[in-house]
Amino acid sequence: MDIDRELELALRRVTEPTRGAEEAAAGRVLARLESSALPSQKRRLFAAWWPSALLDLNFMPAWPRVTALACGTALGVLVGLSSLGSRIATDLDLWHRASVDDAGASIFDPDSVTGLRP
Amino acid sequence: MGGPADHELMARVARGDGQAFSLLSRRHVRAALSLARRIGGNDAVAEEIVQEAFLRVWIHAPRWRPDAAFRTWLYRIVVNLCLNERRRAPVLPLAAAGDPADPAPGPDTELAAQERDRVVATAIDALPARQRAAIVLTYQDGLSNAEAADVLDTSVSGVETLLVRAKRTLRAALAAYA
Repeated sequence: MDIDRELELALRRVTEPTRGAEEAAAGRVLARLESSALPSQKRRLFAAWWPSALLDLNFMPAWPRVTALACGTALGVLVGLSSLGSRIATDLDLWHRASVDDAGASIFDPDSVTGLRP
Repeated sequence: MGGPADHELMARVARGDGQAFSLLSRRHVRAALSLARRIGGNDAVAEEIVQEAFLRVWIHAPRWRPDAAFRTWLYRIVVNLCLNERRRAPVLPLAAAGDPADPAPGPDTELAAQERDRVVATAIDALPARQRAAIVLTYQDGLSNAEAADVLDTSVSGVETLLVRAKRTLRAALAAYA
């Protein structure tokens, strides 16, 4: 007989459960389990539970990105509160405060031909 | 298999239902014992391991998610406990030798088969723990390679490698006997 086939047959015979001994052992294990008080169960904490619930819905937060977004938001609020933006714009001469004269001049310039004001 | 399905029982166990736990343990205790005996190689230790495995099932039931079959999860616990036990205190495989050959006169072929089985059983017990677990899960419990991979926490190709190596060793042992 081919040795591979011989091995297959031997493996099936060897790994076959031995009925009698296992019944007795099963009885002992079940008796021990049922005679003693069962320990308390480990419940799922909310902190451990909600990421997996989000994961089920494909809404699992990508924590590095959430952190980057939070940092960006906090930086924006700080810059806004400190008026740093307007100071930098002034320093760089990026804006002009409109004066009343400027506004009047642009609207009521005298006519170049007649010299009359509208 | 009659009665409620395993995952239904586990849902009840997760709510602390002791009766469902009893039903579940009665359903799987024999298979778990058989697995623990083969991998652990010691009957007394196998009983302790199976008891411990069922207690862990009870304790962690609220966290269990029915992503895989309950049997696969239970087998994984049993296999891990067996491997831990073997790592901690290697035991002499008392049961490995199997039953002694019947001294009564019998057909030569039957005696030869018994002797071959003894050689194979001894060689299985001498295998590295994970190879032995792969053999037992596949042959004794009839698990597919994918299920065995789940239990052993490896890939299907990992299980195939374990089986190939184990069979190579067993074939060599059988050839040496022949």
